[in-house]
Amino acid sequence: MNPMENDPSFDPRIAHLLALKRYETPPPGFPDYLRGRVMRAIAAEREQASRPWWTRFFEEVTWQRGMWAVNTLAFAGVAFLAAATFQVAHSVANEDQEGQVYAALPLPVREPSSQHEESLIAANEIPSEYRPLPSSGVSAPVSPTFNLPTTTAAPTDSVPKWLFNTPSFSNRGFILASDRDQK
Amino acid sequence: MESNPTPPALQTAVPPAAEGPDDRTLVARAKGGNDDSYEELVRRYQQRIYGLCYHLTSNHEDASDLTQEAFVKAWKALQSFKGDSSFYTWVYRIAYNNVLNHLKQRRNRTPHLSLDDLDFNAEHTPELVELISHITPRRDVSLAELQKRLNEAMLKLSDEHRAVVTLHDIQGLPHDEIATIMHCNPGTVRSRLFYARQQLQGLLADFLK
Repeated sequence: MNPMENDPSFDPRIAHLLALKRYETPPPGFPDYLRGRVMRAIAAEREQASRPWWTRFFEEVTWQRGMWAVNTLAFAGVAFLAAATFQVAHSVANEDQEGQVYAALPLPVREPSSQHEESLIAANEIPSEYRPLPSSGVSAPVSPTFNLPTTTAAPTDSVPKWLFNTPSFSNRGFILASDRDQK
Repeated sequence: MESNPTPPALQTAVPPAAEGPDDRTLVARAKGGNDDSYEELVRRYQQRIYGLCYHLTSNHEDASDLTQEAFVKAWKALQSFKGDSSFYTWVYRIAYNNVLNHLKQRRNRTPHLSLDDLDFNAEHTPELVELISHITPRRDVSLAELQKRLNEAMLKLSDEHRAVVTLHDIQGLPHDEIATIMHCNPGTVRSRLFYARQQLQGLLADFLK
């Protein structure tokens, strides 16, 4: 036998006092009550486990006592961050996509038509009502006009046409008076 | 004179041979989803588990909650129960760990001594009367006072020391089983028991003069 267990210095009255604690029993009927409580808790656990995980998570986090306000704020913050992140990511993706489209598609090439050129030439002419007044010599403000670039057809089909849309002598993007005269 | 039922003091550590199927069979059925089998296991061991929780917390409400938690946790982990130890020891270990966690979380809470939980009939049990008269020959200390002093002394012990005293000196478990429950070797159990008793003796020295 272990000497510690049969320690002679251990007062037997302590053992008797400890034995008294065995009489501390729950009130009558308590075992039945406790067993029912355990089985109800198990049934609740089983019912809980059969539900989708997000439902359980939401209930767990949202309905903790005294924490609903904090949880609501936290949820709002998370939702805002998620929305902002999505928005930023979406706009960046759109920019990238548009850039790719612009890079992939050739710029529109229009054959110059005589009617178009005439309209451009006409647009470049200063209307009579805005011409400098000979009497005072003061020019009235002239409304800006915009000359759309004119392009020529690409030399080959294998090379993207937009490569040849850069301004050059033959593709100036504007019309000189000499062009009109030649025409 | 009426014959008194077997007093709790005579309860032994080894669970009595239960009527019906043994624990292993009940566990196998419970694993298969048979709630009646698990309820039978709860019925067999709830009082002992409750006793462990109660003596470690000295609080009736906490003991009830912890007992329920222990059985629910055991039910959840039932599929992982391999049967290396008895179901009884396994549930005891779950309950013990549960109580330790509870005590650590509520370290600063003032314990509530449920002195009114003493079974009224037990107060008149001859064995108990003899114990009281043996301890306090002059009968100048009430049973409530005895309990209060003992509970106070118990609560001054560390969790591990209180657990080993509860399991051995109150519930009567052998060292080996306590070692399994507490995840330590039997030598540690004996050592803890020795020092816990020494502490109790010191704490109750004035009372026992």
